[in-house]
Amino acid sequence: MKHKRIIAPLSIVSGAILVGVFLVTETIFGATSTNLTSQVIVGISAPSVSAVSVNGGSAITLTANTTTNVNVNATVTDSNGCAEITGGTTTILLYRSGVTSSSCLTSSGAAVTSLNCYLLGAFTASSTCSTGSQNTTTTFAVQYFAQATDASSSYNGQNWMATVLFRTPDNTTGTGDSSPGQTLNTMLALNVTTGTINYGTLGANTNSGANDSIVTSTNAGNTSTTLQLYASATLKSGSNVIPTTTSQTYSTSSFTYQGTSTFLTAAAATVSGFVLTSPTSTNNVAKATFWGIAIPNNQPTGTYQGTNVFQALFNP
Amino acid sequence: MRPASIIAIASIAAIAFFVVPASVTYAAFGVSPPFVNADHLVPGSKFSETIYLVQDQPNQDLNIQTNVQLPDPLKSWVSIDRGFNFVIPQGTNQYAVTVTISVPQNASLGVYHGTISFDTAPSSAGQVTIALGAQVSVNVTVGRGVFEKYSVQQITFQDIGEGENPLVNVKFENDGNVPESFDGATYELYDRFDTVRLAYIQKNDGFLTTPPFTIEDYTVEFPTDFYMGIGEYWGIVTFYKNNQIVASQKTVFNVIKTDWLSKTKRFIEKEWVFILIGAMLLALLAFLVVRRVRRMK
Repeated sequence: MKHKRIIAPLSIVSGAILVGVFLVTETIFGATSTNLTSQVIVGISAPSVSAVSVNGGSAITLTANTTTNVNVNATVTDSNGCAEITGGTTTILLYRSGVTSSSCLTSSGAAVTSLNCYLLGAFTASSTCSTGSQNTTTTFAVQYFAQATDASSSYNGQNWMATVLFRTPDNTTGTGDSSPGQTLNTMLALNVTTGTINYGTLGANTNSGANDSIVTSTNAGNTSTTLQLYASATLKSGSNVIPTTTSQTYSTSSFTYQGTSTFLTAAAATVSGFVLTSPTSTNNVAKATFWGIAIPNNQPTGTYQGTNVFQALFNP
Repeated sequence: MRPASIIAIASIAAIAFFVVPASVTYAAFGVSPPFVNADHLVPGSKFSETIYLVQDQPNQDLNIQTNVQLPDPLKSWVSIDRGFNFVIPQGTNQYAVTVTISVPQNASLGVYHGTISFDTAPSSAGQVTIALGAQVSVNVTVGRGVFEKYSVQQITFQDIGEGENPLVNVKFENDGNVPESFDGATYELYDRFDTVRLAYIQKNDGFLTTPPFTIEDYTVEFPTDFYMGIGEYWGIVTFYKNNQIVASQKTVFNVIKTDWLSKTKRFIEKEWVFILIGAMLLALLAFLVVRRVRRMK
């Protein structure tokens, strides 16, 4: 490569001095015009992963019976340029801190599941890559049963962390962890498999006998729950009313009216012996309640309407 | 058929009770978190907690009825921003409800417990329609004494304009019962290769204070004599309190070319107080000049 000599036009005097120095140098060293070859080897630099954050720095709130999107943001930098980033591969982890990134990465151990560990193999660029730096976002669909880490949970003191591992086409790697992680909040939620209780057609002064109506409740959250029941609207048909406290009964096992069943009340009452443990997968944790009814004597005909509330109650 | 028999059959028919299943689309419903724990309140404290009512199939508006079961005097201290009856709009999976506890100055010290229930009210009633609900336990302790607990949930570096000072965004969470702020910070500026340190900035004051039981987002500026030319830089910021590191972050950021409009906007945002005072002085001066001219006429 031929180097150009650039002499700044400082002034005529300084220019003359420079020319003089140049001529003297040529005379002494016998130098004439010379071709210089220069070479630089641009080394392979390892990428950096920085500014890893979980859920925008906010606690994670899940959604009942479905997944919730949780974002992990990070910045990937490589001094060798953007091609190193666009051509690289990545692994992004989101996990409960007690699981550790290495266990989550290898999915080792029976305890590493969607309860506490999520892994994805690609991120979305959230900025244009400029001079070898790229902002990224990875969206995880976190299940409703993911383990809580708040103060009332079994994992108090832990949090949900993210780790981003990046490998360039040159096989150099960079890793970044979120600091700090984020709390994943306890979610108490319930689902029922039917929207109504169907008692069928009954005459006055009769009851449902052994024909129990069954309502199956499922745990739609990430904590164990008990069940509270009450009638928020008593059974009515026009101006006619069937008193709640002496008609509808429930039990956690089948019965022949009234048997061992309990009368529904107007105030919330906890169902004895009813616990839905925290789910560990999308398989429902479910339990049935059995319902019966007695129709008072001289009750006028009609289609009676009412509302029973199934209320989830935190059961740590 | 004898009249008595007819009457008997008619009576049986008349007292028949029908319950027919209704078609109701059903969704899971719940609350997160299912508790409001305010353990370190003192007389005069104000504590807010946002809880989320969550559902998986928000196909229609959902009416919510709130039932508060709180003892006196706790009942009068608690307020709910959404009120006692409200509607979760269609399409909303997570609906924020803020519960605020305002402890009066003359409050009796003690431990208080209660519950707040959020029950759905299905709009399409069947015969015996099932509504879902979730209960939130409220646990309040009013005592005396300072309780300090704070953390930094996120630090991000802003891209800045050419010639501007480095800016860092901080999310500060104060879970204690006294105001908190940093008392020191350092900022190290490196070139784009993270090899040459270009500036070291120490800041010992000017930090915003975060009130008790709140989360605040704010921006910290690090004034420097180093001219921030266009390009990419590495920054390392560390925040201190009581000579202890509270949080630290290292990442890259960009210095970008700013057009005159952006520069003007940033200048106004930064110097709006002085601009306002200047405008008022100019208006006063104009008023005095006009009045003098009128008097001269």
